[in-house]
Amino acid sequence: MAVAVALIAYYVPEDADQGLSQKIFYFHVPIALTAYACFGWGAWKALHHLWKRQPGADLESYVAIHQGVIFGALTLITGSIWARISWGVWWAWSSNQLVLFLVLFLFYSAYFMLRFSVEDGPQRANLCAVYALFGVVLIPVSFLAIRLANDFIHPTVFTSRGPQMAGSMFLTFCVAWAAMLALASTLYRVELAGKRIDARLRELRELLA
Amino acid sequence: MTAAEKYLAAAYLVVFVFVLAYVLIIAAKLQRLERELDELAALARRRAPEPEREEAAKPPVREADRGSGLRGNREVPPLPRQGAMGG
Repeated sequence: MAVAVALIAYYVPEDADQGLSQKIFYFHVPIALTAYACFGWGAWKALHHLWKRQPGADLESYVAIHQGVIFGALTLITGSIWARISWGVWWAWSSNQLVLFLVLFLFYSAYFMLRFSVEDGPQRANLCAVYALFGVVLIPVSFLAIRLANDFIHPTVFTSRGPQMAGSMFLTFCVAWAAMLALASTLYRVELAGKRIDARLRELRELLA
Repeated sequence: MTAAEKYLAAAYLVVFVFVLAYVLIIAAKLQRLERELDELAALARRRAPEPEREEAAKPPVREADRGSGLRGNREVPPLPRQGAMGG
């Protein structure tokens, strides 16, 4: 993460069109892609739960979606700040990319309402897994919306001809994305370990009660 | 400081504050788990009968002693008679 920040601050040149504000891109896009990865991982674990009945897959799916919602919130906040500088508004309802990401974020935020409104047990795990799998359909739609949309308000950087940016910019972007994935992975492992210990302590407490 | 610089700093600050808050929440949770673990360990110690408590206080049997028949102060349980396991 330190390397990514150093590259953004000292190495990568300013964008000719947007100037300094374009540097939000190096955090905003990796955070958004990491959110997609977390939701995807959550859905994959949900599939494992439903298909293979893998023990602990439900908890892993829950933690991954929790991470996804955190990174999703960061995407919306950093995106809004960038929109304020570039477009002069905090939010643009006309941009399909923004609205679809908001829908995806709200969909997975509602996952927690479902999870905490059903009693703990196999039924809750199954319901949550099905919900997580439904949500994953929105990921490619949200990702491709920018390409399918007819508005030109949201810039398209990654096209079929490759990344439309200088080599130094692409390198910085890759380092920032790797840093963000490493951060998400670390937070995921720490939270998962905490939740597992919590569950075992609860079992132990019940045994000793 | 220009407006762009202010917004850029704000965006990075938001990310930093989010991650910091998350780490602090996880740290608080780990502290709670540690406290609960101490409570459970104390409860288990109080509940354990006297001989078991003495047993728990003894040092564990070393791996090197296992092959030589040394088993610390523990009694070796008798082998089950043939046919005693059913079948």
